[in-house]
Amino acid sequence: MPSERPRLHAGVVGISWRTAPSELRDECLLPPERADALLLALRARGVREGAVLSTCNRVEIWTASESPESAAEACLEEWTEACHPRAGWIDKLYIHHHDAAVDHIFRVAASVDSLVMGEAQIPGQVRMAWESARAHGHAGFFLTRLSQAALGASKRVRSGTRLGQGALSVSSAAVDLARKIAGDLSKVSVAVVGAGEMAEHALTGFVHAGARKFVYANRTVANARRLQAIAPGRVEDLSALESILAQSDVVVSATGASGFVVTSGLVRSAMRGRRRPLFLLDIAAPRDVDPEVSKVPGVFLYGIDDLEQVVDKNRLQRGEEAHLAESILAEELEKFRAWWRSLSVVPVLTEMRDRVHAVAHAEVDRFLPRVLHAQGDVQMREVLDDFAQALSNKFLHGPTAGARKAAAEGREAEVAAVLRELFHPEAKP
Amino acid sequence: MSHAMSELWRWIPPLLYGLAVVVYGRRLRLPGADGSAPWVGPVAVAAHLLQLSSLSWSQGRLPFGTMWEALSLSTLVLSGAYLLVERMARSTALGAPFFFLAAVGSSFAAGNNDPPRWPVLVQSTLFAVHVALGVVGIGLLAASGLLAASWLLLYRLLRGRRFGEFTRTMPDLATLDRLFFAVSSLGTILLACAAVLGLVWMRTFHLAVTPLVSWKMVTVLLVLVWYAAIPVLRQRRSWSSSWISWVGFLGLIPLGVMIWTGTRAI
Repeated sequence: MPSERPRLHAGVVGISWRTAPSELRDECLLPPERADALLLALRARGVREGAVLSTCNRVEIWTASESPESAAEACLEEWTEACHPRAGWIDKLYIHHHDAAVDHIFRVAASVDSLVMGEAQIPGQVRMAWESARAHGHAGFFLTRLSQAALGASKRVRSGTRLGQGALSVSSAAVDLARKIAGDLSKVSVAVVGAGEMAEHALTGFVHAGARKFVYANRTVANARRLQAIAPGRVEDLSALESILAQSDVVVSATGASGFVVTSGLVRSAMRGRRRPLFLLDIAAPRDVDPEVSKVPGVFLYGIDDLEQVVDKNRLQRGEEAHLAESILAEELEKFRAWWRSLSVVPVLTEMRDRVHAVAHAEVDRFLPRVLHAQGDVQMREVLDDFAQALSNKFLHGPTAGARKAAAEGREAEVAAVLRELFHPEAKP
Repeated sequence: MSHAMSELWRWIPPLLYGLAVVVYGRRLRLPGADGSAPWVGPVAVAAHLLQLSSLSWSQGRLPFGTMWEALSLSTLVLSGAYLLVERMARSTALGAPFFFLAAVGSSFAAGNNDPPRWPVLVQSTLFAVHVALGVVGIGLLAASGLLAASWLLLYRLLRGRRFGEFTRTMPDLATLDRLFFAVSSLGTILLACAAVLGLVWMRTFHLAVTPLVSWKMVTVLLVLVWYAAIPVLRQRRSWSSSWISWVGFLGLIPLGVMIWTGTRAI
């Protein structure tokens, strides 16, 4: 009986940060309920399997069908029906079929195609997309295998490269540097000098990084109190700066003052009473901290330029690591393609096995009376020899006749090679 | 065990430490450095422990029949201390220098296969405890020297705004400082106890103080005074970590002199 499993091809229809602005992507978002309804509609139109990946940076519909071109058409119609995005949105879409679709899914899962290359969230989002599709019966053997292979490749990329390492924003670079100097941020005291937008932004970064002890200092104390809404902390007047410097491990300065707020003398005096290092971050424009401060032993003074230098280095490193990630992905893609190619012989193999089983059963029926009447070991041995001979003749009759015919038609070398590969005649029994 | 096998067995720890230097060194340059720690470090330490245990078991004595064996035990303590540092600091960046020192120490030990000269003396519990505390103390002080050097290096890199890959993979300054102080303090205390027990043992057995033994005592005293300066310096209420780290790092010199003298003293 021939296999009922069709030969499926991958397809991707999507919109991402590369092709469309965030407003348009928002219009195309497919939250779980909408995605489920869309996939149901697609399956009703003959698409065998489907999954939806919907994140803030990309929305994609993955399909498995006999005809990815028809599946893509169905996706466009159903997606338009589901979201009604603005006119011209179709121009911002990308459509991939066959190998290109598989390649794309692998790159997405490995975070090579992400806005922030190497970001850690996307493998989890891909897993959720597949699990949701599988739970609703939309993902079958093909998309399951594809998702698993893509996630496996993603894992290899993460462990074998530095693609996800190093801060890529100024605020996270500041936090990384502070950690490198002061260690565990939950145990250090962070002082924020100034109460403007930059100060708020820096404070938020440190709060997210786990810092717990804060001191806020500003010329206008009332403004500094606003920072307490972000994280509780002590509020001081700028006149207490020397004692704040002496007690804090991390000081972020972001006032709007025209001159230096943190002077060399102030810092030298503060360092006389302490033996811990002092991390000073000057993110004000113009500068708040006298550059001479960096000469004081135990003081680490950094500005926006230094943080940008860290970010640039990390970005450059991620770019270099991308080549390595691509080579890992190429290996994993080849493994998936080999599996997909092997699917093409599955129907023939199934038919062949069914035929062999039928022949074997017929021969058993034919020899059973002789087996039942055999007396003694010698007779039984003769019956079994005859049975084996008959069975092997029956099995090999078709291939032998076919090989002779092919050889007669001039394909002797080709058929000999195939027979050797399939039967290994030189191997010992 | 055949002679050839025994020879090979002695060289396995230094070879594995050498391999660890290569593996940990490569991790500083190649991808995946922040992933799981290499297996070669723990394997080298385990093999070293097994080697010294089998020596102990086959000869029915503690594994410090000669100063070379004691040196081998010290390098084992150094490597073990590193594995602890790796776990606490969650960084493998210091593996190469630690295992390099372990490879050098264990190579010297493996290359000097003198017959044991202390077995009778080792039967004294006092002596056994003296040597055991001494080798552990020396191993810890060597580890603290490397931690101090690492602190100084990271301090200079950060002050010089060199934010490269090496800087990123190093443990943070605060952790290095904390580990350095803990390891050097413990090493100093153990070495001081070992020195006192050594003197008690000499008096108990009425051993003569030869010129070499006197030299050894002087070097031990020098090392103890040197490392005792660290907690004193830390009491100062001003920035002194650089000075303290220099003292810790340069402490490797008197420590080396003490080991060198020690290998000749008995």
